[in-house]
Amino acid sequence: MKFGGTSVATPESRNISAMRVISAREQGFSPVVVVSAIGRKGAPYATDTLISFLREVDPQVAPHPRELDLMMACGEILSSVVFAHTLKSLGYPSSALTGQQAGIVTDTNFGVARIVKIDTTNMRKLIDAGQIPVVCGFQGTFDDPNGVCGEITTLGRGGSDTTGAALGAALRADAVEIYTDVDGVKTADPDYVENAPTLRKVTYDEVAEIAHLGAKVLHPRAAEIAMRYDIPLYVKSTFSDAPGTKVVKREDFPGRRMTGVAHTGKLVYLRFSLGHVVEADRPQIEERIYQVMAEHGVNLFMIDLSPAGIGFAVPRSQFPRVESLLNGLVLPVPNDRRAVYMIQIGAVATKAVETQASLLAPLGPLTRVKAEVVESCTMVSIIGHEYLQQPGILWKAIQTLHEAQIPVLQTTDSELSLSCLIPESETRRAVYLLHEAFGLSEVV
Amino acid sequence: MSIQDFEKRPGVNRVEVRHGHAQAQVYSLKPPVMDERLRVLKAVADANISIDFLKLTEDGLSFIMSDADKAAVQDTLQNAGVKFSLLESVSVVMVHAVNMRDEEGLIANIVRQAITSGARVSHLGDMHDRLLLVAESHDAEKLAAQFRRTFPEVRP
Repeated sequence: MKFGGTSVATPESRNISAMRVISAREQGFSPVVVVSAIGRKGAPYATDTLISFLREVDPQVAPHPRELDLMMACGEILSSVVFAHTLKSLGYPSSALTGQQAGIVTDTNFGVARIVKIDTTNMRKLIDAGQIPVVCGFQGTFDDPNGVCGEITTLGRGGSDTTGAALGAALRADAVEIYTDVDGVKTADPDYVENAPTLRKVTYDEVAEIAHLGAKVLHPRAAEIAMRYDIPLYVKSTFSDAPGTKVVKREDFPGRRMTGVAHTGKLVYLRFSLGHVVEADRPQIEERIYQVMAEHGVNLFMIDLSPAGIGFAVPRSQFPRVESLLNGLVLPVPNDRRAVYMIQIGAVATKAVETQASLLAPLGPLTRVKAEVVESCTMVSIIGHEYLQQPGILWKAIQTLHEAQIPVLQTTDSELSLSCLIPESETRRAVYLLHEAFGLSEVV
Repeated sequence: MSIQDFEKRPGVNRVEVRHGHAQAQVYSLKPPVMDERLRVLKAVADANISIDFLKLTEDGLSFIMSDADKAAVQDTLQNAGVKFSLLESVSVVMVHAVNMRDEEGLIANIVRQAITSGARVSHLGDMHDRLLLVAESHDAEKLAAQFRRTFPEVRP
């Protein structure tokens, strides 16, 4: 049973969560609990707060990933201790366990560690002794053969969901239950579609795709582990008795259906004009742009490779970094023409770019590769199971947006989804209209 | 449970090529272009043809269909009175990687390798566990070979 930040945020919510654990215990199960850090952004012991605390030491000096992981792990340690004590105070023996005490061994990648092994010995001992283990989500450890034993790592985004699914697999649990503040996996963001229905059943692939396209419901990594080890997984609300969503294998839920509408956060779309570039030079220029994006870990959406140029969207939060990496970037192309290219982000060159251009002037003719910037975009997606390949679905989605005068800047689709890049200001309307056009309000 | 087996390793783990497609490229549509694109898509839908990898181009659109639907698409587009070309022997290259959105820079690296291969990729799409690249079949094999060379975890 995994409880998210809001489920352990206050004494009241912790009591409600604890009663769910106790109920499972009274029904004859041996529950193992996984907890996230207490509260969400802004709360005193939330992960973001702890990171800020460390960064305030000197905003110019980034904390070392090792210390950052140690700091972040504190949030779950506090949470597990408080939750275990809550269970004890309600009369149920319980023990808080760090990731290491729970036997979670990871690789050596601080901040984005992968679980490589779980030794269930300690948890089994506690369960056999009638205790309820309360395990810190989001963390594990590894032994550095040349350094410290028991180095603490964190698992990256969705880490506590991953811990929950991984412990379920290692303990061969009857089920993994992810408790959150919504009733389960919804057909759309309930902030955008009031009364969006809760899906009673969904496949691992569908839920992973929904998460991939922006919904914050269950991390795909947790779904992948549960799918791999064939562990039934449920997403439920801590605060209601609604049955929630059961996540199952594809073969256990066949058929054609629409699953939902998802939307990403704010994106910035960059379109590089390459029509004027010498054809032989193009691959080197394109390759260099993608190389820079790859080396700096930029997350790309809506990639387009066309005769006229290339384009992609990046998260708004990453755009300043992308701009500083690419604006003024010189792309020397080794050939006998001594061609030199330089990227210019936006229609008007900054002073720094003009300076760069004047410094390059003695080298010969300089060709600018201009990138048009479309700010404040978002990606709205419809997700379906064996549905999108039906004739007319792509037409219907785009027609729905066009009729509402919502500009569609680009599309991309796959076996499970169709995504449209639209102005961010239209997100709410687009999500609602697509939800209604595909009859998702009627989903049961 | 062995060390390698608990969570799949990050990065590319499999490359797959699916043949048997064709690609239609509709161009020089009259303004308003979006209205015309929708007219084309409606005609294709009314002809009961299933399409994938829809891409909006500056003055038109492109999409792929199975080889079996090629003739029907040709008839439909001719009847719609639009300019188009049909590219035969088109394949979809699937580059599998678990939870690729969280592997920062991975998608950009795959695209970079695609460009390095010298293959011409006409469209891209992505799912939670794979990047999909559309290319002519001879280029698709070139792409697959490049990915297999670059990503050591790819299964033979």
